[in-house]
Amino acid sequence: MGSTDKRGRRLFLDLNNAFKRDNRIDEFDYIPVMEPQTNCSPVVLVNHKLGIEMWSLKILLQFAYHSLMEWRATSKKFIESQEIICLSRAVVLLNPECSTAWNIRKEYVESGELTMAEDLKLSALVLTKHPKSSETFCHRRWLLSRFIDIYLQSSQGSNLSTGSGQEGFVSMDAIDLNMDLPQVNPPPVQNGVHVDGPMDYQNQMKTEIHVCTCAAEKYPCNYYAWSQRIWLIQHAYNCSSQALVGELHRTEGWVSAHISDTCGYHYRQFLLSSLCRQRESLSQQLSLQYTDLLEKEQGYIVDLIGTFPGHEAMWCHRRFVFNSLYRHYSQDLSPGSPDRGLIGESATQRQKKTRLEFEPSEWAQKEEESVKTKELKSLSSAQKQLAQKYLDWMRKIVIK
Amino acid sequence: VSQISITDDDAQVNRKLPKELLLRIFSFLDVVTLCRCAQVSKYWNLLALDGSNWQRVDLFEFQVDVKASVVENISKRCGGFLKALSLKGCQNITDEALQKFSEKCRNIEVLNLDNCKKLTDATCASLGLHSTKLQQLDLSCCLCITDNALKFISKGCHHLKHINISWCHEVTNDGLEALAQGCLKLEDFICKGCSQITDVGVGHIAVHCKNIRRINLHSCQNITDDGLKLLGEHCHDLAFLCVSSCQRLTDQSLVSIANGCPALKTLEVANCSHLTDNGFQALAKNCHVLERMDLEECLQITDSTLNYLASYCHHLTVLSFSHCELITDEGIRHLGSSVCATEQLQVLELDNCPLITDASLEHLMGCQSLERIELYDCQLITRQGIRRLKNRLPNIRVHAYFAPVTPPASVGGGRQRYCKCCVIL
Repeated sequence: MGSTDKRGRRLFLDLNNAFKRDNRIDEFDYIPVMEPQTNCSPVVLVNHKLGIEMWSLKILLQFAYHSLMEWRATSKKFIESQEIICLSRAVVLLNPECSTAWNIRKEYVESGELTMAEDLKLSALVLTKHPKSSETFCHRRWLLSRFIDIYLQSSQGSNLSTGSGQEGFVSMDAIDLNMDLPQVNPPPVQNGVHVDGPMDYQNQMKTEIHVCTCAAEKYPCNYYAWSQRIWLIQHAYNCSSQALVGELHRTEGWVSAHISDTCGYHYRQFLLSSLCRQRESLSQQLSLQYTDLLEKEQGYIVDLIGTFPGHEAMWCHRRFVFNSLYRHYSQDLSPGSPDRGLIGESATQRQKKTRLEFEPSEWAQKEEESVKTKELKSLSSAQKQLAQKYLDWMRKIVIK
Repeated sequence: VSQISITDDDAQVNRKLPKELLLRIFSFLDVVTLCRCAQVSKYWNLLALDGSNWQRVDLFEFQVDVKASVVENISKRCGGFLKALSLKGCQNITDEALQKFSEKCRNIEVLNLDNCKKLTDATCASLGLHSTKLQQLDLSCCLCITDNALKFISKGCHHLKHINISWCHEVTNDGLEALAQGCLKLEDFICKGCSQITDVGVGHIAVHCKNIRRINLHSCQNITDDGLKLLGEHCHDLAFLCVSSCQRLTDQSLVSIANGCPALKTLEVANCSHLTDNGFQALAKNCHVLERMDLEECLQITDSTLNYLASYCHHLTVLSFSHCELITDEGIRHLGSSVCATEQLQVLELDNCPLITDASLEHLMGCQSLERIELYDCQLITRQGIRRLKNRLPNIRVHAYFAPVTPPASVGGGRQRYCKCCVIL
């Protein structure tokens, strides 16, 4: 029980000193040195990047982990809070799936001895090395939920949101969301109360998107990173149309650069499905038609398929888009459909469109033709196969 | 207890041992075991809960679980028998509980309230009123304690010998003045991290507490040479002094101590980066009984300091020169050939001294009592150097980044082989 390797404590001190020397460490990784060649510290800190030589990992982790667990198990050892916070930091850096360490940190966040900002910084650092750590994302969700709660509580009664609030949430629709540029604005003050000090709501959420993006880059098909992003849209932006459309725009470039990453497509599908549910507010507030977005997506994916033949992920996405459009057009024809009576269009105009452009089977035929003439004739055999499967699917499943 | 009569039906232990012996046995037991014994039988209940067994109570194991009622019950049960009580880490204890305690347990001599964060001056008021026999009091990390607490203590606890008010930031020189004037028998004064304390406060202690032997002012950043001058002038029996992280101190302080405290055994001046060889020269020449010294991060000291220490201080046992970057093998050579080296020297910390090489390890081969040496980040030290040292000093623990060397095979090479019917004589 417990490591008798005395180097553990020294390595722990070295790690703590690194964080003391530089509180802006933004990247972390292991250095592939298996044996200490010289009597030098394995903790390397250069230009805000932290590295640890691999020979020391096990020793450090054992020391930190056993110290932490021993403290947890019995109250015989009295350890100062700061020391516990440092021990838990060492543990999660090397083994982020240790929920106990994260939970200990949660306790200190609740008692105030550890700030949320500090813990968000640490978990972001952990993700630079362990981009697929579900526990880390889970911890971030806990922190952000807390942050959102505090923010909402302090902004109740303020005139921050002028849009219609949905179920008591702050409506983000009326706020101009500039989701690209990080802002350096002073923190918002509602009713004379600082919202958790220097933590700015907008900045925090943008940072989170950034963290998700980085994690998605580091590991292909990073389900956890994309789930986090979805969670963020749902909880922090309350699926506002503006956020959804913004995200649609932002991820276009990323998906084009990661054409085989199914998570990227899945995310766009989530965005589009959410937008579908909000068709009305979409057209009212942003003057955008849902169908336009879908058709744009259609064009986008067809373009990608043409540029990069033979990738199944893209064809799956095409199926989604086609299915959505087909269903949507089919609905249009049924009486009492919610799209009747759109503002700005006369009934005759709608009827005309319905007959010509929205006729689902006619449109599906067009799609079929398009596939036959383009993709089915591709030089890539993989592409041909996928195109054929697509056509089969269209005929059997969708068109009844 | 005398009302219970022991019959032949009772257990052997109760029949054979007179109650005085049973009581004596119980007096060695800890709180938990005593309570268990109290549940064994009526007789044992009376004996186990007899006040005489509860002279020393340590509730550290229970910490946040200790509530007011626990302290009150113990107070009632132990009454005048309770001499030592530790509530270290019991963060939920309040003033009321301690008030009742001090009223009932008037013979308390040792009281540890370390980290009982909810306590305020009111507790000290109670102690000042009732705990006249108090000798040791630990209030470290009781963040609400102010000067008033010390005034209360000084009024009633005239026998106080040991006080610890570390990390009680609210305390100022006024509190120390009251304390010093009231507790004239004070021997140990531990006051880490009290940033409001200045030389004036230290002066009060120095002037009034003639018996002072241990002073700890770790991280009291406002202390200057003037304060230590006062210590040197008045505290001639001083044996332990810690002024680590009091970064305003200069060599003048060392000169003051050298002049006035020849009995000094332990000196901790870690992080006092203004100290130079000159100060330590003066210190070494006058303080001959120094045993333990912490010079970590005294960046300016050179081999010269080691030379002086080696020449004049023959009882050095624990030395730390971590981060003293100017130290070279030459300094270690002086140390290694000093009087203290062969028998006395037990611990030597040289981590982060980049100029140290294997030659230093050679110089230390004669230190028979050396138990531990720290060499982390001494980048010129090699595995071979360490192995050679361990061969000469098999009991030594060498702390470096290299993996600990496995103990060598038994001296004399492998095992002797013998057949099963024979015996090696």
